[in-house]
Amino acid sequence: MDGNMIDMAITAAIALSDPMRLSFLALGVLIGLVLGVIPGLGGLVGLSLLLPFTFNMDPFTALAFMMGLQAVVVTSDTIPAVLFGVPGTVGSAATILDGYPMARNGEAGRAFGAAFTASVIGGLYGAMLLALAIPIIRPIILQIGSPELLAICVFGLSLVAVLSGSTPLKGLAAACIGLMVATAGDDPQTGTLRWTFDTIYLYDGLPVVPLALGLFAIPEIADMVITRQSISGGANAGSRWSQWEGVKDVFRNKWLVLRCASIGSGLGAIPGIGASIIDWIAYGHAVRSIKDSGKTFGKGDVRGVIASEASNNAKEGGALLPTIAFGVPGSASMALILGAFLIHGLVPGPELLAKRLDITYTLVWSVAIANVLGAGICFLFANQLAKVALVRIGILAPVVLAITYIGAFQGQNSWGDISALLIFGFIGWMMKRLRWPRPPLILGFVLGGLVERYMFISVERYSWEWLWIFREGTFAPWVDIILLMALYGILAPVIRRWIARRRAGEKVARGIAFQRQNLDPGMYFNFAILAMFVATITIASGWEFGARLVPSVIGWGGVIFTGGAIFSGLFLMPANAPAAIAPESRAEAEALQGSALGPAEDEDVHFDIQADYGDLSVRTIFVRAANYFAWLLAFFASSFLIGLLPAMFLYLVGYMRFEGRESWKMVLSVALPLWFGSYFLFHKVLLVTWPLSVIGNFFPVLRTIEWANLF
Amino acid sequence: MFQKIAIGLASALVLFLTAPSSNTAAAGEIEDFYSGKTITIYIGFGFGGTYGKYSRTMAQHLTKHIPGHPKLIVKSMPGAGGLKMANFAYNAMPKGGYHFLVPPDSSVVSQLLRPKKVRFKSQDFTWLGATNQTNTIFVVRSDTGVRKWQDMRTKQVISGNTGPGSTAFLIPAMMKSMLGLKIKQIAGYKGSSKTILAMEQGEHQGTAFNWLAWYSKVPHWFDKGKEFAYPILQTGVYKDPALPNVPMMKNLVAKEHVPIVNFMATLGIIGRGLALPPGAPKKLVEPLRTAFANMVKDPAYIADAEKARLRVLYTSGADIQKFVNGAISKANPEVVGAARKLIFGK
Repeated sequence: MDGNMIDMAITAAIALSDPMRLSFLALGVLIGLVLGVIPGLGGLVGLSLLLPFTFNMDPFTALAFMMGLQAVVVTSDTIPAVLFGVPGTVGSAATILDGYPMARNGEAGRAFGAAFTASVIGGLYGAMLLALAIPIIRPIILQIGSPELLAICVFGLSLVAVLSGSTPLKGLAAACIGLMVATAGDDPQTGTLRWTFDTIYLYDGLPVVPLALGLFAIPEIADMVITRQSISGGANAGSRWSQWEGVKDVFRNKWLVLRCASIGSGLGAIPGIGASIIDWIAYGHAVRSIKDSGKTFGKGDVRGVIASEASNNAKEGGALLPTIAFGVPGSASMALILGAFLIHGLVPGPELLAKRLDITYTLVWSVAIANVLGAGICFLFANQLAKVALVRIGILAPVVLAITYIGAFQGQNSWGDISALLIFGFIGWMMKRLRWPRPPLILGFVLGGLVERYMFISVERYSWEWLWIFREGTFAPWVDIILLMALYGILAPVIRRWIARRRAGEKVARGIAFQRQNLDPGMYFNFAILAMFVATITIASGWEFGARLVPSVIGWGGVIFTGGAIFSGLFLMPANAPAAIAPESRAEAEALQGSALGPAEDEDVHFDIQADYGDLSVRTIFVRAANYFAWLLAFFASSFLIGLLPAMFLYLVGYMRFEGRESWKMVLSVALPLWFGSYFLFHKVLLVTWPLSVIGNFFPVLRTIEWANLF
Repeated sequence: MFQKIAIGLASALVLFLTAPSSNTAAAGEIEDFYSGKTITIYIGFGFGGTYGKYSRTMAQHLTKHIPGHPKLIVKSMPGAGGLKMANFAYNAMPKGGYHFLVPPDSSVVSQLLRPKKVRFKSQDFTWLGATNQTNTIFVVRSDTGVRKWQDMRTKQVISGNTGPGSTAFLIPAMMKSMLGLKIKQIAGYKGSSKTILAMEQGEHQGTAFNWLAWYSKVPHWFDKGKEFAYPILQTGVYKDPALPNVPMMKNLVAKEHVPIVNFMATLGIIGRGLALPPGAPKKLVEPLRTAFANMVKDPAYIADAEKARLRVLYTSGADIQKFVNGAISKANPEVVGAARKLIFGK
């Protein structure tokens, strides 16, 4: 850092210390925190709404206001993730895996303490990286072309291997489902419309919000309803001291925090690698680097929360780098911040870097202050929030569900969002129940589009030279370094296990015979998935080569992995069944033991929240689940008839009264404020365009009245 | 029984409320119509490009000129090169007059060339005006040695684009087939910002965007004496005033290709502007066109546009409507077929 930079950093700090600017920064933080808590809403919504108000501010105030908002969304999105297993934004999906089990164990306070501390450290780290990297960032980003991006995405996909735990075949098949869903939409090579089912909704592919909410939120709420237990079960929600425990956890794991913050800010700086990817890579890294992670991760290990949260706050500092240096926004939110730059006559690029360092340092300080402020506010409220885990399920479930439902609709403001939420909600619940790991699916989904895009560009541009350390005569080693890292990550544990078994002199001889007892609902689900992959291959075979290639490869992968899972379940004779392994995954776990692919004998590794129905009978579970999904469908149908927001009120009242058997007084005192709050937020503030309902088609006049335009 | 009465009453109410509408309206009526209301403008691209920048600037200033001064907000619905939003606007956008769209400049071209994907008729949108004409400019890195378009007959240029519906694909594809230039196309970049970054990285060497996309994102590329890249060819109806020395494609192609280049030129006329979805109240058209015309003359609007490195080159709604309707009615199947063959090779 030379003298000029320090001068500029001080100039920016002085400019920002103006009370007016600080107040706007704080206001931005408050708005950001609120948006983060509500599933489906995030920085993008807030920024697009607030951008017009910044037109008349000076550039320092405008940027402080906007960055304040954007930087803390990923701090507060932890709250619903931990409390309900519902990701506040896609950036906190990985937080659920350990955060939610912690809340169920009565450790919500500790999870919050750890998450907010990790967030603030991650955020400060990101800001620091932003400050230090400015002079060198242009040459670095110029090195990262499509082949490098492809390698990074492949590295991300390699984490599927570790996130699949002791069910590698199901994990790989789940990843294939995610990859396949990611190919939906207008294909950039040939312009073929893939998997759009004749709807406009899927032209640009499936948005990630309804998918993530469906996969994680709907199943968690379902299981709350099925077990009829409040979130923390019998455990209490803990005291303020438990938050302190979480803070100490972070300092005990300081290296993990720093590593994950580096992952977050480093990947955040790469345009195209967004929030939905980064938390998973950090989580995967934690799983891989922590010894014996298989025993505790996914069951409420605080380190899982720390990894995810440190990375997603660190991302914002990184994401500003390409925005400032090249005017290439790393995310949709950054595109709006870029918009603010241009409105104030600031053109990103070499000029901004060289002549307006004060602006850049304003951003650095804003990110840093916002993170401290945001985490501080969250700490103040965490104790109260943790008590939500004690609320009766008859009230809590409909409230969380109604908010999730409206949140998913913020994906594209279309019926398609709701359909996707329900479809993936059902798939997610089946997967959770049948112990298919869900993280590989979402990882496949968020990386799938990028892998295909960069693969075509890399191969068309460089043919196979993209894989080589010299490209057109220039030394370009990064692709190989990253790919070797991915390969090492996959092979090292396999080889270690193989050696261990060789030493133990273990002999595995497995007979083959039809295993009738394994022909259960889980197996039928496998068959259904297999059929789906076969169908996709068949349909894709009619497309042009460029459109067909990737879906066919994924489809065949899916067939092989699902087929393998079916074969091992139905035909391999059990070895000495280790009792520690849950019955649902026993077949596959057993089948793979000794194949070196499988886990060691005494492990039951599953990096996902597991269903725990206590001693409920299968019949009870089935009836309650059917009831839950029937309510969901009724909500959907009534939305279609009378509009989404009016239907939400009906649902809240109906469910609390008739399922929860709450008193009318209770029902109305929850439903009315919640409904009017939603009405105010979505209709009045966010100006959501509601989907067209039947009643509105009959009475178009309703749509001309602003306050009643819900139909 | 009760239900029937209720429906009857409600229908009567609806008739009563909607009956007095005619094609022309007094200013007072429009003022009441928009007073205290919000207009949502949809764009078919992300916020990072010129669609985003123009729509925001328009939203900020148009409110002053519409009677009743409604609030305007912008929403982005990206997908399939803007077609997703245009399809949505035609089929599912509320038609009450509170929803506008910024039609993709490729509306007409897509309608003719890619009918399978297009579920709208450009001629059925009510065009309110355009704030900029957007000729498409092919820009090449200077280190390729290409200085004028003829150089590309011998020197191959690798050209990146965002997908087969984009101008970044269409224009180079036409240059290739009509002028016999050596262009290798690579598809799949996400948005103009990333395509331009990839060009700076050297992954490709040149592509076609509207001049403002170039000029607002990478103005330093064109600094006199240290050019990183050169604009070498433009497509449009009129020459871009900022590029008087860059030749127009329609003057270079063989006679039989002129009609194709001409209908491609609708891209430039449509530019960046506003339209109403089909079925919107007719009484709004004239007042909104007037409001648009007043906005583009407003010095405050021009100043803000310039601050964001945008410019104002106005085309009236009526003129665009005429041009669009004409281009579609005149597009005979032979020309369209020939165009499709030249561009997509099938």
